[in-house]
Amino acid sequence: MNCAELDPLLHGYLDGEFDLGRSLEIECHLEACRACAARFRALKDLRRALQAPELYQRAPTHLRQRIRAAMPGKRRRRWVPALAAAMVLLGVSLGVVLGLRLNRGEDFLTREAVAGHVRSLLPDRPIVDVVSADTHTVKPWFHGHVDFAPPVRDLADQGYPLRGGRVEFLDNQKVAVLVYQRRKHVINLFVWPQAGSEVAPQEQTYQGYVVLHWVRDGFTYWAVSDMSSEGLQRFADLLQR
Amino acid sequence: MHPSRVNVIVPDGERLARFERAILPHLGAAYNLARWLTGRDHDAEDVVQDAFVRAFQFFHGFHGTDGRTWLLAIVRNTCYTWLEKNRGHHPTLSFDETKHTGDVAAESPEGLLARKEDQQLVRQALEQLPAEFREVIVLRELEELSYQEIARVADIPLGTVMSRLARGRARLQDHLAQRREREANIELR
Repeated sequence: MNCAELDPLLHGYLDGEFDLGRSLEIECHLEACRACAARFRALKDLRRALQAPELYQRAPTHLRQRIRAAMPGKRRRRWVPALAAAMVLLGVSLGVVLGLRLNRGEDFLTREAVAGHVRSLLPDRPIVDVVSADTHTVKPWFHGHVDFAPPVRDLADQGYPLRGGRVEFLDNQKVAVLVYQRRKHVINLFVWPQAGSEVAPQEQTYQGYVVLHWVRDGFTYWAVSDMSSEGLQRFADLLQR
Repeated sequence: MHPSRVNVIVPDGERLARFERAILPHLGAAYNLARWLTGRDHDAEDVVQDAFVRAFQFFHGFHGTDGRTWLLAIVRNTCYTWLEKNRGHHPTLSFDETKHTGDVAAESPEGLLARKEDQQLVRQALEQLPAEFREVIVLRELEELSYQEIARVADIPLGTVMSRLARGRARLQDHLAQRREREANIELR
């Protein structure tokens, strides 16, 4: 392969679009040819510059609710009493799912967890108080902040790096919050001790967020994210192993 | 999109719930693309809302697993329709000032300033790219889509994706080289 042949292929190679055979061919050429290697490095420099987080335009926090409000046949979280009466009077039957099919206690915690998640994303405050992907830094940090030792797992290799931790009040008790990231999505994982039998992960959607809840090994977990259901299920599976 | 042969009547609430689970997670990607195509926060929000409403209308036609690509194709279409209607045939002339967000790694004030200035140059370089190059760069470098996915979103052949990427990157490099040299000359005086 000569330099002229390689030049158009540099992009496909940079973008990981070629099979192993072709990629190795190109790699060989780059190892031997300073000019092409320099061109490739320039492309990588450009990539690095374009991957600056500031370049990715973040959706404003209110947009989510605005979109949901724009959807036809939207659900309401709770009845407005006057509206309910009017509906009954008009005899309108709605094929709309109202509220959540959960027992009272969980309903409340789901709302708390989602509220905590939304608050954590506000730009006026840091999302974590201990910034570290290292479980050996994050786990001991909780020592001075809560009176239990939350299990802290590192899932960076599986695509869910740990960003750090903080403490929050949920239902008037101090809980540990572990923050994970999956590409552009944030996961808030609320953890606190709970005695009693295990509960397998249960999924709900609330205000468009996916919420997973499970109880295992004496701890209760609430995971909230705006990612897809499959993504969050996978996260929960990885934590269970 | 293949029209569905079997008419499945699904209660509205359930369809909305499925739509939210499959498509709402990609709101971020939708906004990023819309913002880079329209140049304005306000316009991007409007376009994204329109796109989601259309996406919900077409949701019966979504059979795949890749909600992001499906949605981005709709967002892109909606953007261009919107631009046509609101800006005529003029290319996007001005971009909103981008607000600084996110954590900044600890570094020296000089280093931070230099990095921010260069980031400004990179951002301007991307803004001044013609739309057909800008969109493939955004989809590849910012959104990390594969060539196949970009082809689907932009509705162009694979070969066109490759050539536009190559040309777009070359243009960015040339523009940046010129700007950086100019900045360096200014400093030397």
